[in-house]
Amino acid sequence: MALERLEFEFVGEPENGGGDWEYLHIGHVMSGDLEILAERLPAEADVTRIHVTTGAVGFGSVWQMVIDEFMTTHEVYGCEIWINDDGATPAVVKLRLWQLVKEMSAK
Amino acid sequence: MVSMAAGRTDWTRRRNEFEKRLCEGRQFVGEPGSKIVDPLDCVPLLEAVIRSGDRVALEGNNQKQADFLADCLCNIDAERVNNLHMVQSVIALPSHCEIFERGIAGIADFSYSSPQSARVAKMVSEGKMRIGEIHTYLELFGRYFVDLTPDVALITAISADRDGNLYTGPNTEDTPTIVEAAKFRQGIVVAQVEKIVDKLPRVDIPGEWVDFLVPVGRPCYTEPLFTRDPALITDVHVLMAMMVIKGIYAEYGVKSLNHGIGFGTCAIELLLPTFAESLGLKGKICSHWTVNPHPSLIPAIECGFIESIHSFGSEVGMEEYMANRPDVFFIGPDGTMRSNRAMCQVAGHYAVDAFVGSTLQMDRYGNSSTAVAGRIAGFGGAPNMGCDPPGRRHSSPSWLRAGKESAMTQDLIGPVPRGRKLVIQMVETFGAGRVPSFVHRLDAWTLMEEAGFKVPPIMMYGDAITHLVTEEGIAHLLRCDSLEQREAAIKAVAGYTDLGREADPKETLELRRQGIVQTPQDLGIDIGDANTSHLAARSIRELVEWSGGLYRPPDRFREW
Repeated sequence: MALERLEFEFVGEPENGGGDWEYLHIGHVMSGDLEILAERLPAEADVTRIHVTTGAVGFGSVWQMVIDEFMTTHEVYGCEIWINDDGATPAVVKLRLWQLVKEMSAK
Repeated sequence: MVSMAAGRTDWTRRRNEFEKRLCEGRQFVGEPGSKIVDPLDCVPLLEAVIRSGDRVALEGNNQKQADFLADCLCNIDAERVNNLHMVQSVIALPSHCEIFERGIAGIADFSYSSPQSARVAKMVSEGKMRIGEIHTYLELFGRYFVDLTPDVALITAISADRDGNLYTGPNTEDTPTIVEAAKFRQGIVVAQVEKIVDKLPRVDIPGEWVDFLVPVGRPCYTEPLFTRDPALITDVHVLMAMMVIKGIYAEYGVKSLNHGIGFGTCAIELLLPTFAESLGLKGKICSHWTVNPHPSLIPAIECGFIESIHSFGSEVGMEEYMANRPDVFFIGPDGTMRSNRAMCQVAGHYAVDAFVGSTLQMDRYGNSSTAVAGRIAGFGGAPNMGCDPPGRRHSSPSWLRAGKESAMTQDLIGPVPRGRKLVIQMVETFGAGRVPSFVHRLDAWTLMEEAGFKVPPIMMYGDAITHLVTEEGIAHLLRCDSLEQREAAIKAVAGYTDLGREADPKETLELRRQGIVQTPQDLGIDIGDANTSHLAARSIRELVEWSGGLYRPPDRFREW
């Protein structure tokens, strides 16, 4: 299966979604869903890199919009985030990202 | 004295024709005076009582099927009997198509054909089947009593006594309507039954309305159409269901309702004992239902959320559970449930506060359709459930509130108070395979061109929809004062589809300020907390546990 890799990078004030966390895991790689792995960078880090690996090729512009909206809303800088996608809809992507933020602040 | 032109003097043609056919059919009964025909003689029986060009109602319901009679009808001599006009609710079985493939029938008037949608489209394109019209159930039933009255009804029941009285039990569905139309216009009624018994649990169809009985020794085929495995509900369904409960049911005080089938509505049903209960909504919403006995309703019934349920049909495995909850379901003197599609359709059309359904495609005007090119699937009952009945005159708090909010009504009738039924569509912005649900042009237009329909097969017209719910939020379309504003509200919740990307962020903000569009955040719903742990049951097995073992799911839903 052809995989597409997409890279996104955002710079801003370190926030890390609050809470005390190092690693987080949300969701599952299964048809129509995805998993998100997040690692907290050192406190002074002001960059968030999001690495998307997806089996659904050709949806780069939609990913861009969903991730832009996520970062604009939540401003989680200072993270390394990997997304492994198996054909999730934008609705699922968005929901999983919101769940990630909730986990960040819950820890 | 006015001189009268010589008019019609012969008033019993239909009765005479009936007597003739009855006489010919009776050569196949086991003994004189009996109505019982050996299954092996069923094909010649049908050849004796059906004439070329007859209108035939072959009982094909949403769930139960007169499958034995359908097989027999396929095997009659097409040289002798042909050009039949099938008038049946559902084209569901391969045999329903075979009747056309073999040249026995030529034209079909029906409501729903989803199980055979690709084959129906193919037969139409090959000229093997002509479609009269595609109806809603109530329209077809209506025409049974006007211009599509069946000459012959081929029906199915659980059991019969020797006089022909029938017990149709929980899956009574369309039988009373079909028999009433056929018999009172001197039609022939043939019933397949599992067995002949001395005493029936109850009489659903009087024996004198039934001419021939064929005991086939096995139950008829019945499809468990309304069972959804809670394990397949996603977090997105939960999010949308929370929005419907908090943003619409609680807001309008929706007491009576119909749910279409789907995982979104299933999620609502399973959130009633948990999320809705936590909002203090028990007794305030969702007490009276016109709906098939969805197994996913069990937890809400057990919690005392639901007071009554009337059903179009039954659901395989729910029989024992319903029999043990006679305060909730419509139960006969014998102790078993009786459904009735026509009655429940009337109830769901006229007597409920709200309908919730889902769709495959919606355009910028809110018109929605499940039509797909290359498939002719029909409508079923959804358009009658999913519309505001202009004939409604009784009020309820939800109806009055929705009417008051309907910004465009006064443009048509002036400043006169009038209520409105809530018609809610739950639509994920993208379907399976990331196919967008919001489109510039519905596939219904393509299907219209392919199949030669006069109008595109729209399931629900935009003006019927009061609320659109996507994962992005609720669009309160009834609050819009123009078509332009409705378009903007639809785009505001259409997410990252092409249509959604046309939304003007400033306008969306203004719509949110006016309460026309509400996001989950506007409703106080935490998106990050929307997940399936809130469901009262997360598997079929848990539904069985909720029912105290009374619900007995079909094997295909058992994984333990």
